[in-house]
Amino acid sequence: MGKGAIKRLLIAASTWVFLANVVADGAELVTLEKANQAYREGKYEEARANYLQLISAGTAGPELFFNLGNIWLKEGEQGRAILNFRRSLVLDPNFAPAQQNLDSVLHSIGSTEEHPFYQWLRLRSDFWFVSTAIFFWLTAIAALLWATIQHFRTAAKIALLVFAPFLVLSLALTLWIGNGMKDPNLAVLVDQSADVRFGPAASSRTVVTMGAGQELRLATERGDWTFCRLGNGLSGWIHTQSVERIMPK
Amino acid sequence: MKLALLFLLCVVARTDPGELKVQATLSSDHTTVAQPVQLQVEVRNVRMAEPPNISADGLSIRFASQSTRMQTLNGETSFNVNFTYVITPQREGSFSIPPVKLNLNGREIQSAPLTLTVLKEETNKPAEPNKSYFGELVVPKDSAYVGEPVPVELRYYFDRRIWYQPYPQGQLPIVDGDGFVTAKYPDPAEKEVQVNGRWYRVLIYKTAITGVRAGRLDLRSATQEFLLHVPVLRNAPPGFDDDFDQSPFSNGFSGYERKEASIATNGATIQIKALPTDGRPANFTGAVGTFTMTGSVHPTHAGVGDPLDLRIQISGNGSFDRVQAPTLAASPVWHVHQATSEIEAQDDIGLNAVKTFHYPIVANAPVHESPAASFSYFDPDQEKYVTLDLAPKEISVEGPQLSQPGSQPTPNISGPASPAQKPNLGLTDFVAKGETRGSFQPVNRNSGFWLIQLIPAAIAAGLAIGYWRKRRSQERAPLRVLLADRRAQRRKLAAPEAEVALSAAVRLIQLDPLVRSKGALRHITAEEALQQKEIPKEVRNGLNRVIEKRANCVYAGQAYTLSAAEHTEIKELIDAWEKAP
Repeated sequence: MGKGAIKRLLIAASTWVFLANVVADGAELVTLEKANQAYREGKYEEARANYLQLISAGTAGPELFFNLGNIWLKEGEQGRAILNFRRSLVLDPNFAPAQQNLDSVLHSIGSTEEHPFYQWLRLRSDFWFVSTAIFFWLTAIAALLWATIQHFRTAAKIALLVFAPFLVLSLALTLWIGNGMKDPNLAVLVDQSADVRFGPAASSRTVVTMGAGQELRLATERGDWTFCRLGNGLSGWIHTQSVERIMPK
Repeated sequence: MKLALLFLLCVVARTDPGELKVQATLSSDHTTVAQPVQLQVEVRNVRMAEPPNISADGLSIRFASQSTRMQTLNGETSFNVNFTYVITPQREGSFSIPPVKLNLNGREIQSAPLTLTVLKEETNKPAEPNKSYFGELVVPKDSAYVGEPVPVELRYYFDRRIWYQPYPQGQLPIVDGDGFVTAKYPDPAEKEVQVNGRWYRVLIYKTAITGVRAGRLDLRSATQEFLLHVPVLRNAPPGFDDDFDQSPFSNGFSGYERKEASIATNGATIQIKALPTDGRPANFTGAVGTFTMTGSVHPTHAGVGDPLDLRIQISGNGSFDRVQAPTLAASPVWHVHQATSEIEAQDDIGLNAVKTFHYPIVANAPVHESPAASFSYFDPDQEKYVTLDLAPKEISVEGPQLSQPGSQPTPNISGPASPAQKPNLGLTDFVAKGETRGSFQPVNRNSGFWLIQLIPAAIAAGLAIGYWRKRRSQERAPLRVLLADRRAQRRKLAAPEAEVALSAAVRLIQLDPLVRSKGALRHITAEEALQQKEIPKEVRNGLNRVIEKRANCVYAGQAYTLSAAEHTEIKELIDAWEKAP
């Protein structure tokens, strides 16, 4: 194969990749525009299908989940609405409309956000983790400067006194919160209600009946049933289709 | 010391008053005529209480003892008072022991009612008393209604010298028959009994059987597989009809035989009666038993639009699986949401329990009464339907009336909310942009984050390495000076003037131990240096002569020039000195 043939082949491949990207972006924009249009026109089923398609294609913005939550709410599915408002807040903890709608839905079903300050901390788990890393390095470098360079000893000592408490605080929060709302096992009950049972069978006795939107942590899956732990320390088996993880698959 | 520990315990332990609670339990829920059973009444989170009076028709109930138990758990101390009663049945039948009521600190608390089934003496005897092991199915009654749980016991008797275990481990008995469901098996109990003068260990499985259709219900048997270790006789006496001798010191005993055995119990028949259709309440959901209903609302003072918790407790004895949320009276004021429930079992098999329903309720206008509630069940003892009514509770909900176009009050909700129900909640509603932002992946699983950590790690490592090099350099500074001095003295060895060359030689004699100590030794004389090494005699004498000549040059003023031969000799002596170990 000559040099000219290789050159032509490379040009053709580059053009194909470029065109493929342009077409893909175009398709995404069209779907988003279609979804928004359907939403504006009150065609919620169509809008929902388009939003879900966009999300599965990786367009995971907080606004999309927010819109999806609104659609589910208009269709009377409070559990799925809460799930999507929570997803929206996971992506952007400061997205006020999602928090406002979440509070409204919880209020409408006679529930409230349990331990709002804890929830506020959980939504910002990444912030605490990054803060811990930053203050760890600042404290470590200040300590090294203090130990090695006589000239910076005073400045390093002051820096140590400033950074060390922040390190302790952010480390404590990180250990307490863990992955927060980004915990891959965290899920929400999407059905209106569901029984948590002693065993993985519909005939098994009920531990507790849960209401829409309640949070639970999933463990092992067996058939159609998943073992879960609730916030109040109870645990049991729940029908897998009644719950959905906050982190979408 | 003990007093100090007691004081410390008192200081550390915090007395938590906790929730007052009373629980009554029977040692066995069925017995035979004149065979006593024990009733335990436990009052939790109280230090002192008077024994309550308990009486029931057909039962002789005698107060036996009282005890107080203190326990400290995680620094919290609680007190429980236990009352023990002995119940002796006077005749056969099913007896209801009423709730035990106590008035403590102005507050009335009560336990759940209990049921004791008293059988004829003959029915409680094992069917095959002469065998080494056998099974027995105990069914306390011969008729029941559809949906009425009948407590049964599956008893497996083993001569007390037989070692046994269910096989495979954890295997539960299988009741052979159709048209019924069994409740969950709790862990089996074990006790020793004497039957016809022979001691047996009895493994007792408790469960409840609920007929699902009217007609004759035949329980053919309950079979359980066991792994047994049975004592074996070497020489069984002729005509001996038992598996082994009853005497533990029998001469014929020769060890144990391991075997698997499938033990089946006797059968039983229960006549299942259909529930009457006449007088069946509209809100009857299939609950059969004896129940009571209580309720409360929290908080009792709130504003319009605030959620309240209406709590309704159904307690008693019966089919709690079929106890559904009580029906609330329709009201345009109240918006009632789906109730959640929880069950607290009061016995092993969950027939005696308390089921609590929580209704989130929201008033859309000022109101002073909570919604009324009603619950219906079928009482098999009275053979009729009973409807319990819960009167509205006094509350105070104040504030301006809510106007919610599109939202409809949903009275009388006891099932899932209708999908058609579309609340207008004043939500923020806008069409969002398609911007991709944020991630569901925690930052600690992001490889980019860990790569960025290499930058501060490199800075810290640079600082640490710089510090280490500086320390090392400082530690080697005296040695470097000595080595430089030795190089300079080496050059001076070649000097023609005797004073310069001999002084250099003497200094080299001193420097060798100083260099070898890597700067740790600060000063040494040439004579002392010579004492520190094992060197040949001629080298030692030669070096001593060099020291002497140098002293004559310096102190006696004998200035002269060294010959080439003398230079060579001095150089060889110094080389030999430095090479010596």
